[in-house]
Amino acid sequence: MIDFLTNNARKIRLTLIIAGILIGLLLFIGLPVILVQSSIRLATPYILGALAAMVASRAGVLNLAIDGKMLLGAFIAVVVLYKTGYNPIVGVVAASISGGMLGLVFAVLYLRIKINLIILAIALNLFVANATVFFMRVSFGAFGTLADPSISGLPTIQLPIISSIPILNERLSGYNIVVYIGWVMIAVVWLILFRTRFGRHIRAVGENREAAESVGINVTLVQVFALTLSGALAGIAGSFLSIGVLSQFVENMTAGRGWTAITVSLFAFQQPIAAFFTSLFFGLSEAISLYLQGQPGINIPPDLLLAAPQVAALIALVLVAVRIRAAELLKRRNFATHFGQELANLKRAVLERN
Amino acid sequence: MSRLVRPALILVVLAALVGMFSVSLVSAQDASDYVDPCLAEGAEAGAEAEAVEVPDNSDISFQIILPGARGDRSFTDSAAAGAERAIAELGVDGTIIEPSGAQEHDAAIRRAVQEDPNLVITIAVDASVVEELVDEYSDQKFAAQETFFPAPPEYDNLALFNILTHENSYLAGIAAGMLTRTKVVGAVGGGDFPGINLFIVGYEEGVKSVCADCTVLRSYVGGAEPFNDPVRAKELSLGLFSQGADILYQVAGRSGEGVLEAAKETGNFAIGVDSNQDDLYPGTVIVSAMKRVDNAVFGFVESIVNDTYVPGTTNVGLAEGYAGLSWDVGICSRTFDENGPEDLVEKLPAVRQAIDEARAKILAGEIVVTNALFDSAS
Repeated sequence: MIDFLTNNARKIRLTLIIAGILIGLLLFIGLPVILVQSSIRLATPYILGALAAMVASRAGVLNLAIDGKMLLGAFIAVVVLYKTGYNPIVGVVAASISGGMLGLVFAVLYLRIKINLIILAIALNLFVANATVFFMRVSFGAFGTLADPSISGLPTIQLPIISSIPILNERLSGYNIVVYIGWVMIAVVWLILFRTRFGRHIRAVGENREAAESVGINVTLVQVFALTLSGALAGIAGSFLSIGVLSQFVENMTAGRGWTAITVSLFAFQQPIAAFFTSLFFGLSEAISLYLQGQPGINIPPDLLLAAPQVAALIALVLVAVRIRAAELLKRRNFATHFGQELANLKRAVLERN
Repeated sequence: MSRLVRPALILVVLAALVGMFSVSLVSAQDASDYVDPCLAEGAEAGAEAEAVEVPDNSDISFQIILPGARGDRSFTDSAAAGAERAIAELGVDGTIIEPSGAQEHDAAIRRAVQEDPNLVITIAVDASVVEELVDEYSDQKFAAQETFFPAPPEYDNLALFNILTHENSYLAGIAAGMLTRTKVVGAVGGGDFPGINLFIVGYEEGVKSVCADCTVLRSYVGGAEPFNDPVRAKELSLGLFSQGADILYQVAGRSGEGVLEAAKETGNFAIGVDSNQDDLYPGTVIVSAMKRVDNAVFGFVESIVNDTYVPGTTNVGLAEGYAGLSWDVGICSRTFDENGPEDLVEKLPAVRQAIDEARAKILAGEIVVTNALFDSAS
């Protein structure tokens, strides 16, 4: 079995990737339009949140405060638009700035005062969850929900060329700007991480802090930058919830999406492109669980359907674990054969000399 | 706050009067000589409210524990409004406690008991928590609302008060069944619990009673926060609307905001719940199935002030005026009449007549609406 895997590793890999692409395309075209749209919308906060988690952990900081930054972004986006009549884009920008600022604060507290990362993240999450409620009440006199006709949601945008292609138009076009920002950010983060000098520094710091320091990389600067970028991405994700999907802020409206995003990033082995597809997978399973309930012909208990995302996550987790285990076995075996050969060569060499 | 609300209410009623006249001009010819009983009553209620003297009962205190933070513009806010009205009108000393969720109920109640108030009111706290604490603090008077025990508990320091909403949901179902254009309507619940199905099953029966070939789609929000995730609820509702549903009944707390927004965005309609939600999205929310939690809370405080506190279990509903529609029960909302599309507004007098007939039949016992809470088979 293992021999087969070793000898055909490349072919197997290629087959799996092609199969994945085919299944993806089949789902993309075969599923009802509303389901595809729903999955893409539900995936957007995961995409941005996962990128946020990824940038931070690539720089060696476990950022568990994604949820709090998302919530702050959601709140600020609505606050900026409340009774001002600004364009909703201003809300998105403000959300990303506020998320970035919180990321900066996080970085300062962690790097200067050296607070434990996990405690700091939990504290920030709690602080944002309660501060938003507090300010909603003090500044706006609103209890738990901040809604006003003056807060306008983001308009949907039809992409120029795609909207004239028959099948793609309703599936790829007609979302609001944050969805597209999410797609663009995948590419941007990938480029930053793998195609720039600074990205190499980020990865170096994440792999081995001391080694990076010893070759003259400014570790503090790299981590501050990564955490700020991470916060800004999470802030945009938050604005998608409050002014992208809805046009109001509801207390604690992230409903744990920041945590799911961290999971997505881990699932995807901190790879931006893999994170994109993992997010879509999570979005799809969530959308299916909601969609199937409304089908009069299908008679499955709703609780079972609602558990679909969790079941899907569990299956994915098992597959990932199997893959890791298989890779490890292969590595060990390869090492053993190589090492055995080297050892034999050495032995022969020693014997010959004698 | 309430000083501002009342003149506004009168204005709304007056505006509704004007609206109704213009509507009745159109529909008066076609057989409907339906007289809206609400209008006369509403005007009276408005006039009555002017003369309220606040007595001094500051030696009497109560603490009310809400199920969660305020801001659902529905159930929780209604309870808080009742408590605020009691404080304002009865002159008692009241404290409103908003825990962050079910996990804090126990601690919040224990803390409230330490203050030694005359009455501790709990709203929608789990039965086991209430039972344990009522048993432990036998000197403290408790009033619990929307707590569903498997069997009626017997403590002499617990007054249990449940508002059953299957019957007014039935009336809301009649409105949905008569107003749907597509013959498909939907209901969105927070989760698949008996307390939520109480609403939904009643609604379904109401729809079927006037529109036998209508389809009722039933969906639940679920997820990590079933009652606090409007984003999920909105996606769910968009899915239901794409199935052809045009009226959704939301029973999902704060998630319901997402249902209402989805209806507004797609040009469909929704039915609100618990509080009067007609004005949140004028012209989109047809009517709200009201649950007068505020009156119940007020009644509890009043019973302490008047020394008429009686322990035991009380179940009330449509008959007692605690459950109803925002078109009646002292609200007399006519927002949809003014903002709704013409073809639906024209039908409203007929709908109201059908609802009045159904209400009379329910009260007379001719129609029995399934109570999903006690009849768990449904």
